[in-house]
Amino acid sequence: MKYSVWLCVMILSFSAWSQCDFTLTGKVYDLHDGKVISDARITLKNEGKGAYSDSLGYYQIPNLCSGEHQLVVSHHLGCEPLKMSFTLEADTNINLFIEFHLLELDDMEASHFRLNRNLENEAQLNTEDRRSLASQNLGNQLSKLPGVSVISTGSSVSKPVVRGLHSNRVLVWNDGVRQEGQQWGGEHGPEVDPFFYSDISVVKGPGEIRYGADAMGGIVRASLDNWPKDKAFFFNSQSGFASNGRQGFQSLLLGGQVPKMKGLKWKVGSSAKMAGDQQTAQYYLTNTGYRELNVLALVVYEKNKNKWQAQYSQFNTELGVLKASHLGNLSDLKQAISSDRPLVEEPFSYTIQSPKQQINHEIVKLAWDYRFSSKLKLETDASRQFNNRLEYDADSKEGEVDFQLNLITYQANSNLNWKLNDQHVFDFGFQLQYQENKRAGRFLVPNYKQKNAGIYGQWKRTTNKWITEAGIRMDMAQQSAFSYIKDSLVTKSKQYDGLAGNLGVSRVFGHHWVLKERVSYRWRMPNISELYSNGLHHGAAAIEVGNENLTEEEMFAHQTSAQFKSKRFQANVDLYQYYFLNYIYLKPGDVFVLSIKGAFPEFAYEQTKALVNGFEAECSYEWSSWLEQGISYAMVRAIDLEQKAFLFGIPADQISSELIFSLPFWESKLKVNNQWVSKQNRVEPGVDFAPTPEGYFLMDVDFGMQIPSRKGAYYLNFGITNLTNSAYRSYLSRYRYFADNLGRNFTLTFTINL
Amino acid sequence: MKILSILAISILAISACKKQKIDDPVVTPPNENEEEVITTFKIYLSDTNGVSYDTLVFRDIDGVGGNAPSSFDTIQLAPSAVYLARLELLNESSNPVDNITLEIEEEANDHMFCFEPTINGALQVEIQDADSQGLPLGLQSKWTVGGINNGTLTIRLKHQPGIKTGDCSLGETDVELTFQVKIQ
Repeated sequence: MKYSVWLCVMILSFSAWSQCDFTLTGKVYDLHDGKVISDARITLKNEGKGAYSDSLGYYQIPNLCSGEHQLVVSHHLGCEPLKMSFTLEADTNINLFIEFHLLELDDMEASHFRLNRNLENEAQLNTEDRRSLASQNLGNQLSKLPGVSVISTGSSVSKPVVRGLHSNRVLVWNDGVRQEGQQWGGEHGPEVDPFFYSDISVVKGPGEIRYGADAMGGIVRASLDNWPKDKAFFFNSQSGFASNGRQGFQSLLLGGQVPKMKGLKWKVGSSAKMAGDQQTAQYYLTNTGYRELNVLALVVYEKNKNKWQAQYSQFNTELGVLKASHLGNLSDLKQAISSDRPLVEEPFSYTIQSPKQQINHEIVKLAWDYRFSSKLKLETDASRQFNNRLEYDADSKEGEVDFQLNLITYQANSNLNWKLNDQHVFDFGFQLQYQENKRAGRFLVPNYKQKNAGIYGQWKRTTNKWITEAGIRMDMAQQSAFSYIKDSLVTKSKQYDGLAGNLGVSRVFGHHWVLKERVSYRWRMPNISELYSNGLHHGAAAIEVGNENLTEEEMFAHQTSAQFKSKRFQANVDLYQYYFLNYIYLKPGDVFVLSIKGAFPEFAYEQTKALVNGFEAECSYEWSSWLEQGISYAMVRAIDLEQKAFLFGIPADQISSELIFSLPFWESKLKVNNQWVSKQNRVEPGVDFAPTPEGYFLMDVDFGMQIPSRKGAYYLNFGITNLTNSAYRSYLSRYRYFADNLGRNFTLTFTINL
Repeated sequence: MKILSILAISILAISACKKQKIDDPVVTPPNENEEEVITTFKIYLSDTNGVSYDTLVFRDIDGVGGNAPSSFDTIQLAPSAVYLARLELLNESSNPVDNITLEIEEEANDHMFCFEPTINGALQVEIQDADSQGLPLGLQSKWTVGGINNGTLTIRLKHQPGIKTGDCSLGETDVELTFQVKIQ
């Protein structure tokens, strides 16, 4: 009796389970360019069931019964609703391709103005802007986004600054790999070639904790995992020329799906750049040429529930450092500051002399994803990064390296993504890292071995109106630094640990408004330079002294965002406040240190309580089908609460305006960008060697068109940056003591997408 | 699957071919004081007959930063005297001691010493030696002393590769020492 009841129950439960427990999943794509669409509304007619596609275009509708269904896809931004019928017999995957009516909407969709419900404050570089900026490095491209500036060393090195925070406070997430180079250095930029990546975005402020507990300022995210849909083979080429620096570049990316092996995709690419001395409005910047040679190879194999990925990339660059910036001592610096022009001026040349830098960055990555079911997915990856940095002094004899640094980093990440139901999603995972630093030559930072481990859990609940998110993370770090003091080895070990977390809420009001509120807690360990640097800092004529007693830097952040979107008008305001405990900064000392080169000020790393707050406000208005205008304003206020002083190196207020004229032929667009940057007056006396530079105005123009063709897309972009050839100095330029920023630049870029 | 594993192995194999690797294991870094550092600056003063008068020393063994200089002598001169000065630059942090003066002599065309007395005109310095282009070098100089006075003498070593014209404002300053001078 008991046995038959048990059997009945089993049969009943089994049949109940099989009848209406199917899941429909898939991704929503734009029919034209294959990009994923988020916030698309997928509903099943007359069933009262539906879902929204997430930021990766992925949607999921569970608990469906077998049989015939009618699916409707729509988007609040306006598109042709897609209707289709299908029969459901088992868990099914249907990818949807929807068509946007207006091209303008298409572009806005790809830009950071999409009605974004996600709690991460993410601004994406759109495809069009990336074409016109193709001759620029990653940092310069990102600086077009409000709230993002760059610490520039000429136009070869640009370090992204998000709301005044940079270096170890901004994480570069290179397609699943935490980019580890010598990012503690002001003149060290991310070794990432923007060309290869399908999506590049900046998360302003703390992002999701799965990326790291130390990503306080923001995250630069670049992803490779995107192939044009339904194409057996694709070919992308980008070539161009920029007059400033007489730069030429050629980039190629090809790939596709292997027909005989369904599920096998591949991508191979190479990029080369060459530039000579750049110029300001009035003179050449002697020895600012650079070379770049990058490669990428990526293979992805998807079969059944598995997805394997192997990736290899190299970023290699050799760049000249402005000859006039290389100093012997403080007297030299004072002489340079008092001079209108750089103290060394030579005619234009492609030759890179000393002082110069050479950087090689290599990444090897293997990843494996396993989809247990439509609800459970495991992602794992392991990578090895090798970073080699060679720096040559101005007086280095031929081939003589001033110093060399080798950084080897191993990472292993794992993430379990569990969709409990159509509302609740969980992510659990861990991140492991092992790093070794070796030095040779002049001392900058010591050799060290470092281990990091982090474990996290995230929860996200999505409904039609609400997104609620919470995350918690625990990290541990252990570092051993090695140095020789009079022939005996001294090992200094440090241990750091902490919790990180965030809590956020996003609410859609009607069809036009989104309000978001997010609080986060983050921390980071002091970087190797903050702990142990000791010596003359290149080009700053100051002695920097590390502080071994630094403790974890902690940050409490809150961000509030409001977004409004109607058919013609969109506006977005992001307000933030970051409260730092133990904010690490370089403090000028009271005395001058005497040496054989004269007297130098001494700067030492200290910790204080600090407050960084500000906002970004952007809006755009579509005057007509052929004219669109956008304005943005970014402001940062940062103070040392203990000393009641301004923090050093914070970007000044900035207003940007953009006018986009859409012309009736060849899908062409004329963009006129204006930028007003004010003088940074919030500076403390006695901290800087020179007064801050004056405010400035810049105008850029870009004309982009698509050459009609039956097969593929051909784009031509002609641009002029710094149209007025303005002579200006940016407060964040590392050359500002010596020379102006770049003058007028004519660029011509030819893009082929087959 | 097989193809994928071969691919994976070959990728790892390629990555094993490293260029520009520092061979030293991380635990034993190379000698920290490998750099070209001038730790010691000496001025040998003698009278016009070559009889030794005094030796002035500036010494900062650990280079820029770290401990303060251990010696920074004051120059004492007799009024109305004429001296011959000879400069010597050493790296005393290396073993054996590196005589940088010899390198400067070899690269005389790229270097120049500049003397800037601030003592109400009571000290005149005249450079006696020259490089192969006939431009002053400064390792040998003649000092003519005036009346009783106190002041300073700033001696600079300028590194001027390819740009030497005799102008003291050009190039990078490798040495800048301001000695106290007492004429009594």
